[in-house]
Amino acid sequence: MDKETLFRKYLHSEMNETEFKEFKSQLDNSEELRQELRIHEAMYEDRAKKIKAQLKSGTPSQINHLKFNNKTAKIKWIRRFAAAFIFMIAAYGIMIYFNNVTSHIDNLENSYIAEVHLPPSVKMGENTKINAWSLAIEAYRNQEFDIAKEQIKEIENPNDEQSLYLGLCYLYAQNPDYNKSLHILESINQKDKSIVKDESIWYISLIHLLQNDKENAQLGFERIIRDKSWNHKKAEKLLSDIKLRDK
Amino acid sequence: MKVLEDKDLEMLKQGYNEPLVKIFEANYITCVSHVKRLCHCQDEDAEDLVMDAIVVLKEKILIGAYENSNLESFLISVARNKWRNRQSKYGRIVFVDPLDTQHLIESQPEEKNQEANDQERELRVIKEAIAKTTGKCGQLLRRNLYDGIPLELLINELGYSNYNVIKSSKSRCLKKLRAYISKVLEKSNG
Repeated sequence: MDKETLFRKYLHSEMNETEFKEFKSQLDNSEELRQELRIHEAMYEDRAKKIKAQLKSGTPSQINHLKFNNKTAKIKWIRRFAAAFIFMIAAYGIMIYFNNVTSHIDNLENSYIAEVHLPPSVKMGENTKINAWSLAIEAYRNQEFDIAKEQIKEIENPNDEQSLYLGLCYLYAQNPDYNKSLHILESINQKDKSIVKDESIWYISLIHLLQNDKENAQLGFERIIRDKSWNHKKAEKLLSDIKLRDK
Repeated sequence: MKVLEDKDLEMLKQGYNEPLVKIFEANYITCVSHVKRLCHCQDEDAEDLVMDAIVVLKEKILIGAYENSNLESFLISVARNKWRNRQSKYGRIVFVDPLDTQHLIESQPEEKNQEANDQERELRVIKEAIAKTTGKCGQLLRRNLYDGIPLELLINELGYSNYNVIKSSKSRCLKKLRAYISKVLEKSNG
C-alpha cells in the first residue's frame, strides 16, 4: 500500500486494528513518515473545517435542532402508533391461530424467519472494548441489519459466530440476499465442528424453503429431527407442513 | 436519500461543495438520530460525526472510490467508525510537539488546550510554508493538500506523465516543505 493510500485510509478512519498497528509501528520507525502524516492530517482537518462551516451555514443549526426535535417527537408518536398497531395485529394473529391452525401453518416458514435470532450474548466486562463486533452487536440488537452487516464485514478472519450473524444480516436485511446468506451459512455447515452448526442448518433449511427448494429444505429438516438438534420440534411442524402442501 | 443524483455526483466530482449541503439536510434526521443512538452521544456530537462522514464522502467521490448504493448506510457507517476511532485508544495519534516528536502518546484532558494551540500554530506554519513554495511544487502542494484534489486527478491538470512521476515529485516537494517547517518551528521555539 503506498503512502497516499495509507494516509487516506487513516484520515478516513478506514483502518482496522491490524492495519492500524502496522501503520503505528511504521510511524514509530520513521520520523519522515510522522512529519508527512502530520502535514496531511493538519491540512485534512483544515479542509474538513471549511466543509463543516459550509454545511452549518447552509443549514442553520437552530432550525436543524428544531427540525430534529419536532421530527423525533413525530417519529416517537409514529413508532408508538405502529407498536400499538403491531400489537393489535399480533393479538388478531393469535386469535386466528387458535381458531384455525392450518392457516397458520401455511405461513409457518415466514413466521419462523420473522422471529429474529437472538443477538449474541455479551459477558460482563466484554462490552467495554469498542470494536466492529461490539458495534455490530448493538446494530443487530436495534435490528439495523444493514449497518450490522457492514460492521461484521470489517472484522478480519471472523469466527463462526460472527459469520452466522453476517449470514443472518443478509437474511433479515431490508432487501434480503438469500444467496449470500446461504453461501455464508453453508461455509459454517461445511466444517466438522462449529458451535453454531445447528443454527446454520436451521437457517439454511428455512432459506431453501423460502426459495421454494423443497427437496433441500426437507433434507435439512430431516437431519435436524434425526439429530434432535436445535428447533427440532419446529422442524417437525415444517416437515409435516411441506408434506401436507405436496398432497 | 438513498442514492446520489447524477447531477450532484458530477458537481462533486468537479470539486463543487454545494450538493453537500443538500445531502446533509436530506439525511440529517435519519443519520443524526441513528448515530446519536448508536454512539450514546449528544445531538451536537452526532451532527459533527455525520459532517465528518460527509467530508469522507466528498473525498471518496473525488478519487472515484464511492459506490453510489446506499448513502444513509454509508454515512452512518463512516460516522460510527469515526466515533469508534475517537473513543478507542488505538484510533488517535497525538503529537505533543508537532513535527518534532519522538513518541506517540495518548491525549490527556489537561493537555487539550495546549494541544489545540500547538495544532493551530502548526497549521499556520504549514499553510505559510505551502504559500511560500513557488513553481510546480507550490502548485502541486496547493492543489493536493490545500484543495484536497487527489494526485490521480492532478496528473493531467499539472502536466505530469503518470502517477509514479507525480508521486515522486510530491515526495520531493514534501521534503522541502518539512525542512522549511522544521526551520520555522525551531526558530519560534528559540
